[in-house]
This record gives sequence, C-alpha cells and structure tokens, in this order.
Amino acid sequence: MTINFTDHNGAVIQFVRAYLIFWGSAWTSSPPPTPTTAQVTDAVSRMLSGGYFTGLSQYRGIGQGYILGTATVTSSNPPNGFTDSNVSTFIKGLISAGTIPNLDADNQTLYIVFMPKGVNASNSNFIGEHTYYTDSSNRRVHFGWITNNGTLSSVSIITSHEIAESMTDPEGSSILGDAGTCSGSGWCEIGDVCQGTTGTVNGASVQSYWSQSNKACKIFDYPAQTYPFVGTQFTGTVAANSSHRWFTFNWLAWQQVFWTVMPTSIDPSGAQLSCSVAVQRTSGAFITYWITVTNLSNAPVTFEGRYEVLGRWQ
Amino acid sequence: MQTGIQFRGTVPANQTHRWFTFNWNPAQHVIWTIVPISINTAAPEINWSVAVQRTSNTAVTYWISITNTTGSNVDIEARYAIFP
Repeated sequence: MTINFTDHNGAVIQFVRAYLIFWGSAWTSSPPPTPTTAQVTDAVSRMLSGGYFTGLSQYRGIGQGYILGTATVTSSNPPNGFTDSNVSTFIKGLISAGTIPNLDADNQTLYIVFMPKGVNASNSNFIGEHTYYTDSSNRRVHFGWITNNGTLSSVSIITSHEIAESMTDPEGSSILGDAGTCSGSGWCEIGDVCQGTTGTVNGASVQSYWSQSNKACKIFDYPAQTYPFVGTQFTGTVAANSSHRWFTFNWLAWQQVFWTVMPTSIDPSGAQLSCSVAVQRTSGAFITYWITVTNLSNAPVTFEGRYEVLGRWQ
Repeated sequence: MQTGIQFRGTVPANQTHRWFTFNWNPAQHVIWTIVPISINTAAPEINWSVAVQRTSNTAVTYWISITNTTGSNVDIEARYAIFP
C-alpha cells in the first residue's frame, strides 16, 4: 500500500483552542477515577505547548494551540453505546446553557469530550473520533470524543490523534489520504495510518502522525537548540530624517524573537536610529515581523537589522 | 533563559488596550514580546510598548500597551523572557 496525502483545500484549524469537557458523574467520584480530570488536562496542555504539533506546519502552516477551558459535567451521564449525535446534542446543550463558551470568532475552537472509563461508542471499534455539526448560525462546530480505558497514556494518545486530525481535517475536506492509503472506512487522515506508533513528548503520551514531507509516521518535538541565539537578518540604509519599513517572514511562532537595529555609519554628533516592530500572524505556525527604522539624523545611515531569539514560547 | 506566556487577550479593531502585570523582580532583566493569535494573511496586526513602574524596592509592575492596527479584533499572546 502506498501512503500519500493530498490537501483538498477545505477548512483547517490553524491554532487550536481546545475546550475539554469531562462528561459524567464518574469524573468526580470518590476515590477519584484514574486518570483524573487534572491528569488529562495536564497531558493535553503538555502536548499543545510541547513540540508535538510543530510537524503540522507542513500542512498549510498549521500551528499549535492552547487549552481554552475545561468543564466537568455531572448533571448527565453519557449512554453506553453513545453516538456522535449524543455528543453533539450534549455540546449544543452546554453552549445553549452558557456552561461552555460558544465558538470563537475565528472558529478555532475544538470541543473535546472525555468519556468515563468503560463507556464505549455504539461502534466499539472506534475509541476516539472527531467530526462537526452545523449550528443555528450555520457555523460548523468542531468536536471530538475520547473513550477511556482507565489509563492516562491511552486517553492521552487517543487525544493526540484526534487533535492532530481535527486541525488538519476538521470537516473531511482538507488533508486526506489518497485512494488506497487507508484500509478502513471514514475519513482517511494523518493519524489513521500511524496507529500503534507512540512516544512521549514534553511528558505527554502521543501517537505519531503522517508527515507527507518525510513520507513517514513521525513524532515531532522541538529541535535541540541552545537559547538565546542572535544574528543579523538584513542590512539597509535609511535616508536622512525619514523612515523605512522592512519585513521578514516565516519566523517560527513558537520562538520568542526580539529585534534591534545597529548603525554601521559613524556619527559622533547624536542619536541616529530608532525602530519599532509590528507583528503579523500569517498562519498558526509562522510570523512575519515588520520593522520600521527611523533615521533621526541629517545624513543617510546604514545599519544591521538584528534578531535575538530568546527561547521557546513557553 | 526563562520564558513563558503571561496572558492572552483581545484588542478591538483599531484600538489600543493596556494590560498590567505586577510583582516582578526588579533585579531581573525582563523582555516582553507580543504576538497575534488571530491569523491575518494581508497586513501587520499589532505593535506594542512597555511602561515600567517601580512599586517598591522589591517589586516592578509592567504596563503593556498593545495597538491593533487592523479593522478586526485581534487575539494576542503576551510573552516574557527573563535573562539569567
């Protein structure tokens, strides 16, 4: 079987805002369940802030994300043999009641519903899934559900699979395997062809996903790098008493970058340059910096535009 | 180098919003950078400036003004880096 994935140009989630929902009274039982809501939340936070999702940048510049919030709902319990419809109805009800926030303006929200241990889907072959429903404002609400065998590693691995696929293909219209790539039914996505290959990133158990650029299942992490590191990105000249703006693109969004300018023209009489920086998030994974350099003197000034990469984002 | 995210928020279209964060150690060298979370493929979205207040011998408050230069709301992330 030849594995190949193609972008069909549908929706993607560029920078996920994960809302974690723990459904059922079992999540607050005494003694607490294994895993606990706190353990699951910590695992998801680790996979989002770690380097696991950095490999998604190859797919239209998709980035990472963060946990928007969590909710534990004990007023109802998921039925054993639940369906996608049960889950979407549950989410609709929570949004309607104001228990969880409605979609953000950019529709980057992903609602993830965690089931209590032993509660399975109607098709017990599925241990996790992601899909969407269309709300009354005709917006597509992206959600997933995760079953629970009582181990944190399993819940975490399934979650990593579903988030990666939700970001790259939330509606079955974007990063999809070509015919013959997957043997199973349903949307053929980047996690489906890599099941069984797992690892640990930033302390969270994760599953590999397909890297089309590597033509392999991979578990991504941040590259080894010592911080801070510095360099000169560009050189230029600003005319006397004027400003000029430069831009530089495809900077990694997970790195913290600071910009300075250094005159290379000598002027012992007074201040020569000031600079200001504007920032543009062109995709989840990449940033463009716009650097305006102002010449405060009466003569042209040559300079170096210097970067200082201070570290990772968190 | 210790780095992190201090807060996330939203700056309304074509407006400036100021946040403050307090009880920072004045002995530490702290650099603030702001990045948008909202995607915009057309134009730069934000710029920022930092004001500093020494509230005591042992505490500093940073006031971070973030300007949205676009016609849409922009979600932002404020990041700090503390030099060792």
